[in-house]
Amino acid sequence: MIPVAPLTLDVGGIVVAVAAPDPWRPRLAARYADFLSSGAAGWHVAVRAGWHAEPKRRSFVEHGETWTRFGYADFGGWLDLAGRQAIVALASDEHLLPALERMLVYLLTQALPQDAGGLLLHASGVMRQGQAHVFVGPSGAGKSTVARLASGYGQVLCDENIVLRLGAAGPEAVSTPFWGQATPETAARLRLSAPLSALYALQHASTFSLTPLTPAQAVLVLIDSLRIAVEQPARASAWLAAAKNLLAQVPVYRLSFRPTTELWDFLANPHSAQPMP
Amino acid sequence: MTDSGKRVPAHHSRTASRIFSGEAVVITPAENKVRMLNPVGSRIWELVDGSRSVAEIVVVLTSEYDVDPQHAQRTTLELLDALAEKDLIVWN
Repeated sequence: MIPVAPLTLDVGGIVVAVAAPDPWRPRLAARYADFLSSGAAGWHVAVRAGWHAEPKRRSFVEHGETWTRFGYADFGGWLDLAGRQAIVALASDEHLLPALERMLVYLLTQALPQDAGGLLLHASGVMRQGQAHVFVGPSGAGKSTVARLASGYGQVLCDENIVLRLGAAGPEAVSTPFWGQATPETAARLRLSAPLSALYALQHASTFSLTPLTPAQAVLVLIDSLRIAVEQPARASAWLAAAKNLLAQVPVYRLSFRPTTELWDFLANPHSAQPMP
Repeated sequence: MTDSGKRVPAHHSRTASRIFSGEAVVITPAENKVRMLNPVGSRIWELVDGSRSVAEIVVVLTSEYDVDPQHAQRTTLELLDALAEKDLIVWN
């Protein structure tokens, strides 16, 4: 039998080899086409069939010092942070993509601060005039809405998960292939990056306004968007160290907005905003 | 300086923290809590390093703030005792 080479993905600079049975490879290759890499993998993920949820524990996420494991009705996984490897098991083929993406999000959330001084954020990102604007907030805050409003005004990096890292020229936002479910028709899954203009903590309102946040206030907003990053003291410490480096160089605002494309004019010139009559 | 001034506080191993522009963010994963300390509390948190005594922390504070040593020690001990009650620091 000829061994099958894994697919190697590069997301935000973290290179992951994904080993999957032959019949699943075309779906994975198509889904992540723009993220395929010839780089040397620092992490290895094996995907296989054969998940059987525990009847009394259909949904759980647990963290040890060097591992994370999770289980849902249709898939589960084990992430070995010390061994830099993971296993994902599926109840059936249809869960291949959500199962792998859940694992990759957990992996990147914890690997990025330690390996690359970066952060994976629960955020949407839009590139306009060569600059990235990144929008964070809990579910319902408007991340997907902002991504939809970008049609014709900018390039959406992703509507659900964005990587922040320090590039050669300073902080940058990097796209991920992990899009949300709200607008599947708009999911581009392109590997893109741009210098980071600003981070915005979204808040629905009847008018547009920007309020600067202190770095500590910004940290609270970012942590609330993805708590899994800080589930153990060592990982929390690495996350805070990465956040400190990045936030020292990036303005962060509370952005009150109403869901119209006026948003882009406002962000281009926030001081010209007029209150609603 | 009283005996309490000789006590040496240290961050609890279950915490992770950083100072962001003078404000301390302290995470306790076991409780799933994130705390932001006020400016004076942040400075005291920053000075807690497992080797400085309360008296030594008070000396630094009185050099930086317009405060008499007795008041500074009382405030420092109150804060550190409160942090110890929450298992954010331990006494060495």
